[in-house]
Amino acid sequence: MSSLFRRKDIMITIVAFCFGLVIVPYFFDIKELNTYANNLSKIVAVVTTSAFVISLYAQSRRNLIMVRQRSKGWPYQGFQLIIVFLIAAVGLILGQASLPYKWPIEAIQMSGSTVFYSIATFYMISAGARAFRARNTKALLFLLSAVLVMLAQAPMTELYMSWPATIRAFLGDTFGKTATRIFAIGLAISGIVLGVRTLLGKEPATLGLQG
Amino acid sequence: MKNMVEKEGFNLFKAMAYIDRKYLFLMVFIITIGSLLFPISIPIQIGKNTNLYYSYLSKLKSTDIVMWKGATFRSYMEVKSGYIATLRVIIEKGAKLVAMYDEGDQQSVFQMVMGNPSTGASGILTSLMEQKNYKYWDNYIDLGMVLLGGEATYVSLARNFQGYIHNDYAGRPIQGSFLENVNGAADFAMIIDSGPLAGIGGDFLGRHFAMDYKVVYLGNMIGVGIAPTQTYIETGIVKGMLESGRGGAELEYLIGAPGPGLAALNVMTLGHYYFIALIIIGNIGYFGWERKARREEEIRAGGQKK
Repeated sequence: MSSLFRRKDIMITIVAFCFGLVIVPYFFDIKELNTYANNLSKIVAVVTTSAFVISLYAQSRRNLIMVRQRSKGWPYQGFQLIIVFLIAAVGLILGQASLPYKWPIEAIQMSGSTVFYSIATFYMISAGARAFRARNTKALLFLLSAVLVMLAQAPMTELYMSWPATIRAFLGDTFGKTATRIFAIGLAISGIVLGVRTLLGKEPATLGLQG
Repeated sequence: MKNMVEKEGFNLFKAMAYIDRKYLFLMVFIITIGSLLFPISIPIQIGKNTNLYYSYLSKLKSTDIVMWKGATFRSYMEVKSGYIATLRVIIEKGAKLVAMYDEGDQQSVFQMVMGNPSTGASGILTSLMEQKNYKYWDNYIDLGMVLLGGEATYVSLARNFQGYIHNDYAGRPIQGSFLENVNGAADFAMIIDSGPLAGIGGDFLGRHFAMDYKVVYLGNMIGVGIAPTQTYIETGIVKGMLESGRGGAELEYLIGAPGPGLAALNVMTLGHYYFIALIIIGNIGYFGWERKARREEEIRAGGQKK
């Protein structure tokens, strides 16, 4: 029976069926179909969320190997492993709302994350003074744009000069938005192409088959 | 380069090209502490996006339900003022609030502002909540990390809310709460997303809530999210946005509740000017000394090779 579900044509049929089940209710309001589509979405959401177990397994295995082999930085890997399972155990036993579960997040992750973000200021300042050089025309244009945008972004500037805001708006409305749209449209087209190729059986890796 | 240094001794251009990092960092502290100790009153100009954001926020009614997608600690550093000011408006309007997250620390940020209903710990807005009788369960519910699972999760929430959500973050069933009558996206009056809206969550909420059900979608954006979000505003998917700390300060001014945003205006202004000044000084040093020194060294190295 399991070999039947490993057949490429069967798998593509299942994918096509699921695709139809989800896509049709967007265009036709059929109550029964809606119920099936909603349940399918729920199943997919739960399965996707549960996939974290696989990543936990892969990460733990990698850490264990590093600890066993005493690779470079192995104490950190061991520490990470202990922390992950300790917090998971506390969460499972005492619940997610418990103070011991929240403490590492609020006392360690919060301050660590905040410091991590804040030290970017020092990197930026150092880069601004020592690395951002107009070495060629492209770099010069980039630096000019950056300076003008920052000038406009400083709250006090607009009170005395309106032209930096005009230039910022121009740069954002032309180059900025164009780049964003190209990225978004590219992603959408890639998604459609991948979907069609999967339905045609030309993406065996997506179906878990060898290429 | 060594020859040049030996030849010239102290060189102003060289000093500009290679400012010692300790002085650069010292200035950061001076600007930050100086701005806090000696604040200058900076008049504020309200941006178009903040006005749009506020126009929708101010229309909230006590019967409306707002979906709140939280910010992580990292983004909270930037969007803090807008985050607090927006929640302040929601509390004052008495609108219902449903918080949900896709990263673990987003809940801690939310509880830092609204208090922790499990432990009874106070938050930044606890006094306002007490004053307005704004309570957990009656007025707001925290669903926890329910936004995992990618696009399918957002589809489920938008189309089958009761089938997907059964309890709050502490395991308390939502039956009997104001969420009992929420069946899907159409029952939400507004979505507020704090952090990088153009990320995955932004797209999913945009597609399955704002586009399909015309839910008002607002963003409280970190700096890098501003430009991508602007395209969403122009297409009508996002209705308004707070542009990082500055947008938050503008909202604080509009609602008449000065907070961390307005307090940081001096630092924001001087920080931007300082960064611009460093780029200019560094490039003067580059053209006055560094480039010449590099060329000289290249010629010398080239000559040696020959």
